[in-house]
Amino acid sequence: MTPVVEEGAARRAAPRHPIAPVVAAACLVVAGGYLLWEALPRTDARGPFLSGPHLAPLVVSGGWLVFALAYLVQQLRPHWSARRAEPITAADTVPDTEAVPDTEAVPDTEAAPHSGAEATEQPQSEPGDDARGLRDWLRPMLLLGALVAYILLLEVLGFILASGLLVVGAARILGSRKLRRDLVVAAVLALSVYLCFTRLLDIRLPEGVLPL
Amino acid sequence: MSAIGDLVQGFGTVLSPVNLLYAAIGVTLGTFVGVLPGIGPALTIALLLPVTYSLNDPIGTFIMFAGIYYGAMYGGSTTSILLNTPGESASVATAIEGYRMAQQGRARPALATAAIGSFVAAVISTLLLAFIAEPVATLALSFRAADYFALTLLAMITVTALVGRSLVRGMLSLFFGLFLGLIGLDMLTAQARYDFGVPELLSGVDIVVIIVGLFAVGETLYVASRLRHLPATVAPLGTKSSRTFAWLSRQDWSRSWRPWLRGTAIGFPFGALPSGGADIPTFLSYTVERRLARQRAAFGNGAIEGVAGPEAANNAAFSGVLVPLLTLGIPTSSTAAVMLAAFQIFNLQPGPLLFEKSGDLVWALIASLFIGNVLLLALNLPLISVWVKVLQIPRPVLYAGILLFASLGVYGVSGSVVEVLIAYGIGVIGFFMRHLDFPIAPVVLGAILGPMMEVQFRRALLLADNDPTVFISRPLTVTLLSLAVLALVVPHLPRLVARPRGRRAAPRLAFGEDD
Repeated sequence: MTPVVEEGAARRAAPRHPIAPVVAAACLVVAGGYLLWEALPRTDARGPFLSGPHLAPLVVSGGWLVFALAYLVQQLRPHWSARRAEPITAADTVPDTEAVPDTEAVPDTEAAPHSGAEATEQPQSEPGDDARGLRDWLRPMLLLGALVAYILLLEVLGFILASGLLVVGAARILGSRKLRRDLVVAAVLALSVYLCFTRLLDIRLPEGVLPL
Repeated sequence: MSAIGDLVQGFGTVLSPVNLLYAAIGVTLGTFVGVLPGIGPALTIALLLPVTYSLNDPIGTFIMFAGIYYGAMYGGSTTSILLNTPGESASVATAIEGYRMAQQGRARPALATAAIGSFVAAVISTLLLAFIAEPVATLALSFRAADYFALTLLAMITVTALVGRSLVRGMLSLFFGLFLGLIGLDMLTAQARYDFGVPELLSGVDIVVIIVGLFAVGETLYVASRLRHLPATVAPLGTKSSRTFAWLSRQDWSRSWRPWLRGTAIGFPFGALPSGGADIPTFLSYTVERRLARQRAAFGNGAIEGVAGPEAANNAAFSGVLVPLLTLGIPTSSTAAVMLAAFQIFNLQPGPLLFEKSGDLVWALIASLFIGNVLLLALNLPLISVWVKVLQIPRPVLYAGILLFASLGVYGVSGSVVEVLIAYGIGVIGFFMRHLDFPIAPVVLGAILGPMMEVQFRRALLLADNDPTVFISRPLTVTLLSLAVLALVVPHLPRLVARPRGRRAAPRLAFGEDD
């Protein structure tokens, strides 16, 4: 389940059958296989097997693998039937409703005019659609980056500074364009939370570079 | 009846000024966080857990939690009605008719019938809880390990099979949760499992980390990917009309009271059974009210019955969930799972022995459920304009704040950067689960019920000298296990019946989504 793979996949196949579920299913199968391999008892297991610690991981990873394979088959079925029924003209083909009942969960299959300029590298799909899809995947990833940066900076910069930066940055990524308001909110929030936690609740938070 | 005496004693504990203050704080905090769009009761409690770490007063803390528990629910219904963004699946049914009513300028009656209905349901079902809990706990004393195993299995399967639209996706969610539950040292032999060489994983993945990751981080990342699709406008409250009592006209009252009672009757048993909380009863209540409504055409256009029934069912189920939690120690909803975590902070193990060991605490908790609801009724409607203000917090700032509090919730508890990173990782998975329409609740229940189930399974075998027939030697165990199998099959019956007759495949029975 790496975001990078998912992003590429969604970009490539948005107009036709969504490929993101297929990629996810493949990832789930691989992960299930790895967990099953990991669950196999290494040392010669002593004691009774049924009441020992090795059974549960085998059951869980085995069940995971079985359902991941079922999911993969479910997701591939519309792709196979689509290949047989070539050529497809409409961009918004709805997959087999029984196998994939969740057309609404598919990211952006509905085509809408959009003047995107970012997507020049993918000539086979509609450029407007592409840019929108790309931006939809970009925002969560930026947000995740901001979070990771926050937690890594937390113990260096201290809670107040890092948290203030997080609030401003996250609000910005989420579409806020009022920098001054965000700065005020961030400062008030970070300071009051810090004081509340350290003074009232006795929970230690990193002080960092600010002298308090 | 000794229950009455115990309850009166519980009231005696709660009605001290300090404890009333705790109740008021809990109710206000719970409503405030519950009103925030996209935050359900489970996340509310998880985020507010750090607040209780430093309190040394278990009774006060649980009184506060009772307030938070119900406050989050009341707040959630306000959000569903005014903004059409239910914070959890149990509010989805309320949002259908409630938002319509709000759009027609009837937001006040909708909010009032939700609040009063919740109150009625909560009072009745808490009374039922008070009378049922101790007998069930006594009965549960005769349960053996094999029965507990069967019971947890049943709870897990019903939640997974009945909630959500695809069994395969539900099962994958469940197995992901079970896997999370396996991480760390084995409880019986201290064998490390799935630690991947990370020392922080040896102690297991905390339920708070899982909930914060799935519900706060996952939800925010998902919101970030769908900024264009969000409803942005809060429905106006509408004007206060005369000739109403508590915002409800005489006609509203007469249309509401029966759905309240019916909703309660549907909600409590479903919550009390190990069948997965409030999702099923709310949708069931919605369907029942639509069937019974005299003006069926009004449904879909803002029928007050469609708000009154499901809200009452929601609240009644919420109290019902406390029955298996307190008497058996088995949480059947995400919210109950966090409550269990809260109990464990104070080294209290819910189960049959809880009533014997800490009876005063349990009865104080039950009494505070009443107090909390009275406070909520008093707070919620008069303060509605405050909650509307909360709803109008700009989304970017709101979600930035949620991310901050989510990180803080994990860091404040663990003091470890790695734990926060684990929560973020789970959040990324939660994001993809939302995108691909995987239900979330089975993950939480798998993670918390899985380890319980495994321990009971192995304990049963150890006590029976590894004789697997221990699981089929008692009628109770066999009954529970066959119910679990039934729960897997029943949702597919319509399709299985329809197929041989050559008809178009009927849709699976399914009840809403998870929270």
